[in-house]
Amino acid sequence: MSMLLLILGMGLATFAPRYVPLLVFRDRELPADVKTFLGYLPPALLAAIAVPSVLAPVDNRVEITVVTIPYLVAGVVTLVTGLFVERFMIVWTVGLAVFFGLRWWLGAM
Amino acid sequence: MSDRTPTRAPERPATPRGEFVAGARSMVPFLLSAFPLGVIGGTLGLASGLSYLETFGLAMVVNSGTAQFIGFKLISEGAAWPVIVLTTLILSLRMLIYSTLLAPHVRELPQRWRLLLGFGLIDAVFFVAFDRIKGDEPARRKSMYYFGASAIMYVNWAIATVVGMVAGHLLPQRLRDGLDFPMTAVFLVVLAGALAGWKIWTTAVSAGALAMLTIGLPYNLGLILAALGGACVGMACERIERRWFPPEPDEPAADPDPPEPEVTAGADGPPPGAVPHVRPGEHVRPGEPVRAGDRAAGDRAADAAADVDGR
Repeated sequence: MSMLLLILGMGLATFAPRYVPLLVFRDRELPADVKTFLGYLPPALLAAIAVPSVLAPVDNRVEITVVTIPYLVAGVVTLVTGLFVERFMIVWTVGLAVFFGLRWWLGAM
Repeated sequence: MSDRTPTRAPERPATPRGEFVAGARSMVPFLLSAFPLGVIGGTLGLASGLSYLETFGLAMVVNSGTAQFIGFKLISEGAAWPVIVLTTLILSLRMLIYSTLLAPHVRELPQRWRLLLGFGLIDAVFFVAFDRIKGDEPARRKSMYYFGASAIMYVNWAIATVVGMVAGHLLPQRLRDGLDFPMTAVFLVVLAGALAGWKIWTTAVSAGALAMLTIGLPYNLGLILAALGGACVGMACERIERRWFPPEPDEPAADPDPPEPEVTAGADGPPPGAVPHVRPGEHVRPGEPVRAGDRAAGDRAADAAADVDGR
């Protein structure tokens, strides 16, 4: 039941930003300051998600083990590759190859 | 959809059904690149402890790869529901921009059509269909092109999710243990695409540092705090730049209006993606959001197209 509510809540959260402007804004624009803030919010959130996932992948602890090394190395490789290569699928595949390759090599899987 | 497709797609299909089919066809590159992500999404849902029905339901209700992926991640970490919903909302904020751009072109559509239009709005559909939507044709007809694109992406994602749920079980457990990384990698690629200019770099570094400092907070609250804090740093950078490095009067950036987040259509970044299209650091003249719908820009976005929401 709570999962149903959560899914509906997420549905509302993804639907509202898509629909409300269609309902409210006809010819008007969002205030410029709001737009600027909204522009910075997603990169900030992505960094807030990704950085701990790479630096502290297990139990929120920063540590160097055979389990965490692939996250750290592949995370950095993915980000750096992404700065130079534009194709999403290529960068993503490179990141995964490094990650699972290292895991295999270090014997974590 | 028509089961008798025209032998060749006309430039301006005359019938609503023709428009629908043309819209669906325009999404082919996106379909191919979205499918593997949908499969992983289905696998991850089960791996995060959701049932088949919950996994499929979540995918179909949110109709957003980014929201779905972060949802699975946070659910598996036991995050509090307000954090999950708020995170989903923040990751969907770029839709405000697309939707605002669409609004004046579809205002004569009935309410129910606009509901559907809103639900079907994803990055890829916007970039491909906006060109047609902003044209002079009757709103009902031109929106069929949009609906065709939107519908085929939705069906594609549904099939991919089911395949992932069914085939995911075939993966060995030890491989499944590392399956949180594909998600992290998605966010890293999208982030890399957004990192243009010192202001966004500063924003991202601040948010990342804040996230590390607040990592112990309950319910993953640190995530929200770090995101809001990072965005505030971005705003501060914007102020600093405006005060100390005022743009040259002749540059486009010199527009007296405060900068609007630009929708770059993946023109110079990886991402078809989500966030990267919104580059707060870049400026766009009012009345020029047209770029977002450029045919060429849309095509480039299609090339790059596999961001979770490029789907």
